[in-house]
Amino acid sequence: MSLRGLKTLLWFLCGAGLTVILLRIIHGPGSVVALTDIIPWGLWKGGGVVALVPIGGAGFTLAAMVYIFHWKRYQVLARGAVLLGLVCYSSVAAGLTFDIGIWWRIVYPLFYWQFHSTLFEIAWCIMLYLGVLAVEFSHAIVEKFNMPRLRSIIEKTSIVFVIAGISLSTLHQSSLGTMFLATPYRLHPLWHTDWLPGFFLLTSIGLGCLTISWLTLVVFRLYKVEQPMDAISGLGRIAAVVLGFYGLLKFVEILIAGEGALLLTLDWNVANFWFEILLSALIPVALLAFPRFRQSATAMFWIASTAIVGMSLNRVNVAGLATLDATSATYFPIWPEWAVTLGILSFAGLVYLFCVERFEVFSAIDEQAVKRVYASEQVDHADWKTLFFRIPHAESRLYSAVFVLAMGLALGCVPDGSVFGEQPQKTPVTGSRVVEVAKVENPQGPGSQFMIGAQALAEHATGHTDVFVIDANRQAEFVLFDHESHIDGLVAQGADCSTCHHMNKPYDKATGCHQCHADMYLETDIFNHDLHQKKLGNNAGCAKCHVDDSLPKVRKNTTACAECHPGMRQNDAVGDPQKRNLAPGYMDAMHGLCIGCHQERKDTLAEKNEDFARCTQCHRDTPGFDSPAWNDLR
Amino acid sequence: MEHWLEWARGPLFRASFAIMILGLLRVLVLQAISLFGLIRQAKRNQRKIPYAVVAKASLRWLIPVGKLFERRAVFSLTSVLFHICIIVVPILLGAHILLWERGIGLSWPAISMQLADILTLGAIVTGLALFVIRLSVMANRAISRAQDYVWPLLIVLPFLSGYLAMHPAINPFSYEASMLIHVLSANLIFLLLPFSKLSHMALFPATQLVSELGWFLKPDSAQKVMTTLHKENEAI
Repeated sequence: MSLRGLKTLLWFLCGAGLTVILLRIIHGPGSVVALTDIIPWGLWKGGGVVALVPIGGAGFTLAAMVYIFHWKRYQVLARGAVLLGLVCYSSVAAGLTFDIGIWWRIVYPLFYWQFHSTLFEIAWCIMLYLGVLAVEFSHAIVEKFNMPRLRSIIEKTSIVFVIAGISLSTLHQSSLGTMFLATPYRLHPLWHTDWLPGFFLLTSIGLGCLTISWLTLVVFRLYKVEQPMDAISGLGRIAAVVLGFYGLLKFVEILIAGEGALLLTLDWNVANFWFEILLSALIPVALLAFPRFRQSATAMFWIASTAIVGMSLNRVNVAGLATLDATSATYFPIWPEWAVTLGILSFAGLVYLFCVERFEVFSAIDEQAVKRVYASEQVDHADWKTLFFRIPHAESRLYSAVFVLAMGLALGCVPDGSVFGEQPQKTPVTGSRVVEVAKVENPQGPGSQFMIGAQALAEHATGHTDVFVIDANRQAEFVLFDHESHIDGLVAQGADCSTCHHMNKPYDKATGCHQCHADMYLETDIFNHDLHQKKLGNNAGCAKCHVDDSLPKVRKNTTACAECHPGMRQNDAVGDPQKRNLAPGYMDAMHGLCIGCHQERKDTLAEKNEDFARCTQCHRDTPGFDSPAWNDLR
Repeated sequence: MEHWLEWARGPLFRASFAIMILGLLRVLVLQAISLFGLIRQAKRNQRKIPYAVVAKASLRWLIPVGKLFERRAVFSLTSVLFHICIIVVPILLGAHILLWERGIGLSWPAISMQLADILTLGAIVTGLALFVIRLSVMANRAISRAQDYVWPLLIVLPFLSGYLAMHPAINPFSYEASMLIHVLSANLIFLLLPFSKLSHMALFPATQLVSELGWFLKPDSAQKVMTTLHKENEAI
C-alpha cells in the first residue's frame, strides 16, 4: 500500500470514528454500543485500552535497553519506540475517556484518591508515564526548533525521566493484570491465576520488542528506506527468549493449579486458549529460533504480526472474551464500536507518521527521504481527480474530502437511536381473556372477591361468574374485571356501553380497548393514512382532508375524523378530541377511565366507601399495591 | 416506495446534509489557507496590500444588483431571481421547518404557502431560462462544460417535484413518487455541492476577495491584465 493510500484510509477511519464519538458524547455510550449491564466491558476497553498498553510497552523496553544498558545496537529504534509508547498511551487515554459513562470524569482520579483501588494506581501510573513519554520525546522537538538551552536541560535530566518511565511501566503493566484478579468467578480458570500481574509485565516486554520491530518494518517500507535488520533481528532474539519463558511459565502455572486436564477437553474456551497461546507465544518463538527468519524483513513482519494479534487476543480474552461463558451472555461489538477504536488508532497512526516526517524519529528517514516519497506520488495534472484535489495543498484536499465523506457516511449509517437518542421501547398489548372464577361475597359489607384456578373450589364460593383478565402486557400482574356487573351497575345508573366504549371502529359496536390503545405506555396513532389515501382515490382525494392549501399538511390542519365518521365517537366526555386520533398508552387509558369513575361513584353512591377508589380495589393480591404510598402516588 | 422514502429522508438526508455542511467548511478552510499563503508570499516580495480598497471592492461585488443592467440585463436579472428563489424556499418553507422541529427541535418563522408557491414557480422558470440562455448564446456555449448544463436542470428537479407533491390536483404522479424524486434529487445536490462549482455558495465572498487581492500580489499585475485585455487606457 502506498503512503497516500494508507493515509487516505486512516483519515477515512478517523472521520467515521469522530462522528460516533460526537454522538456518544451527546447521547451517552448506550446509544452506540452493544454492551449490557452484564457485559459492560467490550471492544473499547478490551481492544482500545487493555490490549494497547502492552503494545506501548515498546517505549520502556527500548528505553531500558538503550539508555540504561547502553546496547547501542538498538539506538536507531529508541526514539521510534518512545513515540510508539506516546501515541499508544494517548490512544489508551482517549479510548478510556469515551468508554467511561460520564466521560469528563476521566480526570477524577486526580481529585478523588481511592488508595484501595487498582484502577486508581493504573490511572496515576498512566498519567505520569504519559508525561514522562512526552518529556522523553521532547528531545526530537527541541532539536527541530533549535532551542539549545532547553535542549541541554532536557538532556541533563533525561536519565531521571528514563528511570521514572521504566519504574512506572513495570508498575502499571503488572497492575493491569492485578485488576483482573478481582474476577475469579467470571474469568475462565485457564486465564485466571495469581500470576497474572507477572504474565502481563513479562509479555509486555516480549511484545514491546516485536511491536517496535513491526512498526519500523512498516514505516521504513512506506518511506522506501532500507530497514535496519541488524537491530530488528536482535530484538527478535530477545522476544524469543522472553515469550518462550512466558509460554513455559504459563503451562507450568496451569499444571501447578491442577488445571492440566482442562487443556485436553473439547470446549470453546479451551480452543480459544490454544489459538491464543499458539499465536502469542508458541508460533513466534518457534519461528524466531531460526536466524534465517530473524534476518528476513518479510518473515519478521509476519512473525511480529502473529504475536501482536495473539497477545492482543490474550488481553481481550482476559478483559472480556473469556468471561462470556461464566456470564452466559453474548456480545459482539457493533460497527460504531469498531469505528471508534479504529478511528482512535488511525489518528494515532497519522500522528506517528506526522512526527516521523517532521521530526528526526528515525535518522534514516530524513527530509530528503520524505521529499522523495512524495515526489514519486505527485498528483497528475491531466487526471480528472485534479478537478477536486488540485494543487496547491493536494494532500490536504484529498484527506479532508475523505474525512468529510466518512463523517457524513457514518452519520447516515448509524441507527436513528444513536442520532436522536434512544427512544422508549414499544410494549405491544394483547386483549383481555375471559375466565370463569368463583365469587366470594364480602360478609362485612359491599364488594366481592374472585378466585381463579384451584382456589375456585374454595368452599366459601357463593357462585361462579365470567370475568376479564386484564393483563395486556402479559407480565403476570393482572386485574380481574367483572364486565357483567359493570354493565348492570351502569345501566342501573342510566348509563350505557358508550361510557367506556367511547369510540368504535367502523361497523363495530363495542371495540376492545387494546385495539386502539395498542401500546402499554406509548401513544398509538390510530389513523391509517395509506388506507384513506387509497379509498379516496389517491391525489384526487387529498383535498378532502387537507382542505386549506395554504397550511402545511399536518394533523392539526386537517379535517376532523368525526366530520366523515359521525358515528365513530360515542362519548365526547372521554379522551381529548384535540389529540386527533393519538390514543394514549393502554395503562393511561385504563387508569384514566376506571379511576375517574370510581372516585366519582365513591362520593355519589351510598353503598361505596373510601376503599372503592383505592388501588387495591382492582389490583388485588399484587405485592405492594396495598401500601398507602400507591394511593398517594395516584 | 414508502420504505425508500423513509430511507431517503432519514439516513440518506442525514449523511448528505452533513457532508454538505462539513464539505463547505472544508472548502472555506482550504480557501483561507490558500489566501494566507498568498498574502504571506506578497509580504515576502515587499508588496503593500491596500486592505481597505480590497475590502470595499469585494463588498461592492457582493451586492448582486450593483452592475446588473450594465451588460446582459436579462441574464443578470434571471440569475439574481433564480438565486433568491432557490435560497429562500428551501430554508423558509413551513413544511421544511416542521421537519426540522420534529427532528432536532429547532424552528424559525416561515413564509406563507402562497409566497412559497410563487417563489417555487419562480425557481423553476428562471432555472429553465438559465438553461435555455446558456444553450442559445454562442459565447456561453463556448465556455460551458457538460456539468454547467446539468446543474440548472438538476436544481429545478426538487422544486418541480416538491411543487407537484404539494399540489395533488395537478400532479400526474403519486404523492410518494413525487416526494421520493424530491428528496433524492435534493440529497444528490447536497452531496455534490461542496465538491463542485456549487461550493460558491460558501466560497463566494472569499473568491471575490481573492480576485480583488490578486491585483496587488505581483508587481504590475494590474497593468499586465489590462494589456492582455487591450484596455491599457481605461481606469482600473
